[in-house]
Amino acid sequence: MRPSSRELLEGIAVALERQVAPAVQDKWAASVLRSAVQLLGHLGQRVEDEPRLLREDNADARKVLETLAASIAGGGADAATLRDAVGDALAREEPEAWDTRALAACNESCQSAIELLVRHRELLAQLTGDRAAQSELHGYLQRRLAREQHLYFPSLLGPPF
Amino acid sequence: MEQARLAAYLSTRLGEPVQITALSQAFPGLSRETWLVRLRRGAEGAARAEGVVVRADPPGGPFVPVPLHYEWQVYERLARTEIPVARPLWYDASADVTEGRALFVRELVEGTTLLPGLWDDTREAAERRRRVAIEHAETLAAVHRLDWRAHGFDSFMQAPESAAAAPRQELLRWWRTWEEVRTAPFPVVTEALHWFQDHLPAAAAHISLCKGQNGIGEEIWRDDRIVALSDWELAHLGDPCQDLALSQGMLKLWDREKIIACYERAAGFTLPRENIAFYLVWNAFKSMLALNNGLRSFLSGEYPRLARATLGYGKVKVYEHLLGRIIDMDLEQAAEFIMSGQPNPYHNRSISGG
Repeated sequence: MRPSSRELLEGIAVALERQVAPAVQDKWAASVLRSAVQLLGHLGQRVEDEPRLLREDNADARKVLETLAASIAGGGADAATLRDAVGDALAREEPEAWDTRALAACNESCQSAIELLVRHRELLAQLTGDRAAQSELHGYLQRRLAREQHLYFPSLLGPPF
Repeated sequence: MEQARLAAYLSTRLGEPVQITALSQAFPGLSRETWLVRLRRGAEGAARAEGVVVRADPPGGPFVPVPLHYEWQVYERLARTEIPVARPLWYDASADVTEGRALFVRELVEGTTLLPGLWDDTREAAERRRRVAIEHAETLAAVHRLDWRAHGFDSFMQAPESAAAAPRQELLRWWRTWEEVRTAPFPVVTEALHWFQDHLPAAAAHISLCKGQNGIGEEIWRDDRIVALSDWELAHLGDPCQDLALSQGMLKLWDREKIIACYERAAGFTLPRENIAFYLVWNAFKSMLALNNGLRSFLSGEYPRLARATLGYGKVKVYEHLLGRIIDMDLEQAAEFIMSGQPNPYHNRSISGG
């Protein structure tokens, strides 16, 4: 469908910036306009890529969690919170590819589990016997940042207000 | 804020007729609302001109997860010292004029938060930058020398157990706060918090009353002198190096080492450069925390101001990526990296004026 969602959002942002902003004298209104233009620029990237990025990230995160789940299975009561968080994240069914909201909920569950594992790095090292799990998590997080970088850079570097 | 309602409120609190002659909100007022009020006070024929500042929580709360009453207490105590601050008048936990939101009122100090022309490319402007940098460094040193125990700051602020314990206590305090206020899981930030734990300074330079946000844009200036220090919501007892690191471009106004040397002469103690480097990076985390906290009222619908989204979500994602990059760096590299990502605000005329 043309124009695409992205083309429309980018078109609106350009029109606001070039045609509306110069005519807005009030500093509060001009500030709102700058915020709106920045968010539209971001949405232009996000609207097309979000479902794909969530699917890719969910697959990557689940793979990491599956690997670590095996490593922490034998831990004692201290590890129960970690096991539960990882178990909850892995128990979720992978949503349909078009269902962005469900994909985002699944992603948040994975992120919660990963955050908890990162938070308790010493316990994780005790359970796994080395720092390999920490490296695994670090590697995943760097891949995640690289995957989503274009959503935020450069669209969110302009004046935010 | 509605002018007639504010006039009625001020009349009640001041106990005499008040007529507001000018009312404006300080821009951009992203965390809390600051209203500048010029008024005539007293019976007709004998009315006198005065000015007050009303500082109020916005709907849904500020960026910094610190109650307004905390900042009020800072003003109240500082007003009894030689530190230049506007005289605080009263605190109201639930004012009708702000629909039940907290506010406090202080006297209006004449001056400006910006210094137009400061970054002009002239010899005079360069000399002015030197004077301004020294004025700021010496004023900050006076804050850091203050006997905070004698003035009761430890009655409402957490005092570090020792200089050696101060950096860890600061880390743990804000780590806990982050886990309370963040709007989503941020495992990269948790990794960065471990990095901070691994790079903590050995000890604070001194245990001082620290101002928090400081520099141009925060203080009131008149004839290039600081006549009042404003915005104390991030004030705390801790390492003064943090204030130097959070001075928003002041260290770039002149030769950085010379500015720090001026500060050290005025303060009477030295600042370990590695502490400043640590807090340069740490402040990126604290800024991110405050901005993300400000997103909560946008998400709840209490405060649908778009800047809460561009800052609380957009800027936070940028900070998350910056923090993700420092994890593989040493302290010096990380400080350089964060500094390079912070353009000098005084190069921007819309901020510095002129």
